[in-house]
Amino acid sequence: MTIGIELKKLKSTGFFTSFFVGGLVAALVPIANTGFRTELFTSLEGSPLSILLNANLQMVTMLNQILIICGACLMYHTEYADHAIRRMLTLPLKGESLFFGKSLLLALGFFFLLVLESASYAFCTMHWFRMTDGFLPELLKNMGFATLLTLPTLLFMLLVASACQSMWVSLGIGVIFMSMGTVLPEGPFPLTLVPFVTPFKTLADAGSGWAAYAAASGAELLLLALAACMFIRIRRYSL
Amino acid sequence: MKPIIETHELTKTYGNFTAVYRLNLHIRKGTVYGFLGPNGAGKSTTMKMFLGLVRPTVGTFTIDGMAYPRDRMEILRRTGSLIEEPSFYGNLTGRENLDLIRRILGLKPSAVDDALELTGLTRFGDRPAKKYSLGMKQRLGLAGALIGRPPLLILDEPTNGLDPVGIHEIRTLIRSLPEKIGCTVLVSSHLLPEIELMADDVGILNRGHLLFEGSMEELRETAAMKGLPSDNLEETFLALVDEDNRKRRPM
Amino acid sequence: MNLFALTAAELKKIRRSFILPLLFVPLVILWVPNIINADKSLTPVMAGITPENNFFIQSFMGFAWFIFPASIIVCTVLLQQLEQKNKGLLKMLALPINPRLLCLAKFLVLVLLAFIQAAAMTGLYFLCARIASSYVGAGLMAQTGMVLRISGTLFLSSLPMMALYWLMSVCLTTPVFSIGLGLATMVPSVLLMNTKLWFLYPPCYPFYVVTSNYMKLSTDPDSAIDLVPWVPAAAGISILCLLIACLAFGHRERK
Repeated sequence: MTIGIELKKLKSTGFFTSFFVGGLVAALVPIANTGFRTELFTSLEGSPLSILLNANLQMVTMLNQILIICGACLMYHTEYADHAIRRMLTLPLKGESLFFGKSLLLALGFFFLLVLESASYAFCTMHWFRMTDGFLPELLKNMGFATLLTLPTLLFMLLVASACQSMWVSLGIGVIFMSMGTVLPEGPFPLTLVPFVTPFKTLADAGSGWAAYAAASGAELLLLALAACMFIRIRRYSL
Repeated sequence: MKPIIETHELTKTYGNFTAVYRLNLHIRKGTVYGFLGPNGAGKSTTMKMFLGLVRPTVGTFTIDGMAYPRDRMEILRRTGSLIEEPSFYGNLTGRENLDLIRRILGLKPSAVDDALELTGLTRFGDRPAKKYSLGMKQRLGLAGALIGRPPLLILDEPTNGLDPVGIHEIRTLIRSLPEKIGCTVLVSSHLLPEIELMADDVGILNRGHLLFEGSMEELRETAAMKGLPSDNLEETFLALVDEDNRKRRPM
Repeated sequence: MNLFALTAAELKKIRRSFILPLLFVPLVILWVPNIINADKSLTPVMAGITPENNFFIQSFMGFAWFIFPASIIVCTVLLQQLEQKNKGLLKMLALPINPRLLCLAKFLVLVLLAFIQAAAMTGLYFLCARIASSYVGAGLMAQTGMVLRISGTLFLSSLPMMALYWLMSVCLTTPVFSIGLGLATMVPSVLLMNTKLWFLYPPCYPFYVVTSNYMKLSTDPDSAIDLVPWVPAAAGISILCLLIACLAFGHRERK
């Protein structure tokens, strides 16, 4: 029921349009990039997917993060703009279900982006490279890794949006963290675990350390979920 | 008869500031209880405590025999509320806003139309709430409280922003609710004439202290006993508050 | 009221508005890891570049690629929000002021804010290069003249981008979309600056200027940016954007 209600709240907010158009733009990036620089890419060593991910992941991840920031901000803006959250919290509804319902919806939005982007990588491989049997398992592994590394960012952004009654503050925090994402990916391991920084790592970049990244992301996810549960209990009293 | 809302020494402090001090309220079932006080007296804080939006510092309260925080969910299930300003999703229509609340409360779909009709919003139900006038937003907030005809209504200054005709309609509606749907109404205001027209009982709050609780008649008698003006209730209220202000140093 | 008096009045409005601190936070975020990773500048990826020039140009690439445009986008929307919140714009439009001039004055405030950030970035560079030099035990201070020239060009090249983002913030009614779309336009900068028509895409100008200088300082010392058709195109785009922004400013409120 919670998902249905959260879905309804997003009507006419521009959330769905943003994810749809944003997803199409993100999916167009690898196609345009490979189209412009076909010779360069096709002459590179390695599997087509690793070449495509190397060339496009930063741009695609940035677009995904912009959509996550805007999505999270929109979700809580509808709650705070006309004090709707106050009525929600005076209904027999658990605060946690409000937050996790939104998390699930935002995660679904992110999966939608991943599906479009995966289709784009598949198209590029078929059109400019050669499709092999190993492509699909490699794609699934990479997208699974990307999902695991992005979910903490998604939860973090929603937590920020739920904490800030002014959308501008949460938007500002999101953009500042995104700035960090563009300068920190090369830093030492603990710094690369900061939300908005981790998603820039590909499976190939992580190399043998992929398990460490996956475990750290899992732990971050758990910690953020716990923080959200604790925060929601206090939130009620500060409205 | 046991009161539907009963508070025991209910207190809320924020640092050095005491918003509500040792409040002992008794709200009778099936009545309209007017909660009166100047701005900042602690009316909204008290109402927020009843809804679990503010945690009491000291003291307890029961609602229909249920205690907070143990029975919070059950209290919320049986209470309709409108606190401070109306709360709604501006991007949704009035009807959609009410439908969300209906689904959370597990009510029948007809409850939406019923609430729209009770508040005179039927004609505007399909208009986005952000396009509502101030008065219509207030009515929507009221409809969100009335939906499902709950046994207890907590309304914080429900006539705010309404025009004279709207104020009259809402007052008449609130006055009729105990009889119409058998509920108890706790309604706050800083205007005594308003409370006088709606309420059976009145509680006067000033700087977090309960100055008086009882029926209108008892208020007149108390005022006369204290040598305060008793023929005009507005003056009685002002005199009570003024006397209290002089007694207390600024908090 | 003339344009300068209006701009001075507009500057007063940004007092206590968090805009200025917001310009400095990303710079701290940029410089701290740059100092920590300063030793990487000693072994540059590109051949021919000196460690001090590498440290300078890498830092400015990070700035021009995301932080500078993102700060401008956030500033445009915050400037708009100052007016929308509490309906300040309605009051301004009810005063005997030319709304087009008001729009231009606001744009000048944006330019000033961008200048402050670019200047702070340059100032911080001199400070951080000194710190990094002692941290890695090698000279990482580039020539002052070159630093000032490149940062100055970076600022000037961002003017058309500012005009474009200002237009977007004036025309897009939902501010969150204005920010989202603005940020999204930055992403393909890398892609578009490698095409022949890069000069038609203002968001890539600052990054293009810095990467061209990177090439000049490393593999291709003779390289230079062709000012034609870039400058005429940039001027045309800026004027067009400002013109539309001035015409559209306050249009919604006056309907």
